Amino acid sequence: MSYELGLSPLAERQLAGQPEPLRSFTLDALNRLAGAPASLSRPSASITRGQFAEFRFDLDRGTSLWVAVTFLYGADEQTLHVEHIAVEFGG
Amino acid sequence: MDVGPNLWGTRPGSRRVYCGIMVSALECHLALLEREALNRPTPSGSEGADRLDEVIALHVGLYEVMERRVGPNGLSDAHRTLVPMFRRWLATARLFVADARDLRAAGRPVVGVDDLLRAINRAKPIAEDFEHIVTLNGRVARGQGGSYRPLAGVVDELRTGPQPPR
Repeated sequence: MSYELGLSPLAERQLAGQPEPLRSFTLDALNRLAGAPASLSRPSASITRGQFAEFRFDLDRGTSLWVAVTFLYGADEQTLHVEHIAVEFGG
Repeated sequence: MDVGPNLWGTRPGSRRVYCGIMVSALECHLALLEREALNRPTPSGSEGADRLDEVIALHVGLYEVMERRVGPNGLSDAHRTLVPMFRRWLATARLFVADARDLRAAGRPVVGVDDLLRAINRAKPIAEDFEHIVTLNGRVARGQGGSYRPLAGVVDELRTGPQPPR
């Protein structure tokens, strides 16, 4: 079962602030998360009852990009509420 | 008790005093790594890569200990005093990432950069979005819902709207 994804105002701003191709990587990460949130995440250190998932993308010249998503499970058990998105690039 | 000059060559009574007496262990280690980042010679060669490997491992380890101070229930206003330390950690981490990038470009890959990038992402909610996260956590603790927009709708708007600079 794939979950629906909802963005908090902060997560929406964080996604909007990402230029391509960062945004594409983030969307890829979010879609992967929606497919298997339980197996891809662990408890968040910063958000109460939040879950934290991180995704690595291998880029050119041996560099990597990491996307970290912190989310809450929705009460409907069908939605992930994305609260925070962080992206960091090693290149 | 006269403990002599401290690591920075100043005497006790100045803001930076003898490590282990008045400055917490975390602050002390962070200050040492900050100084390492600021005083590093232009990294080059295998020796530079090896040394940066060590420094990055130390910085990541420091983050692990710092994060434990948050505790099991997420951020609250009680953690506000930690924010400057997390911001300093983050700024220093980015200097190390830049050094690692330069070394890699020179053909000297640095071990541990991925761990540092992961720690940087974990630090951001605390260092960059503390107020928002504390407000969120208060709402979660009270059982209050939030406002969320479906990702599909957000993506459609972003595709047609102005693009942020690269």
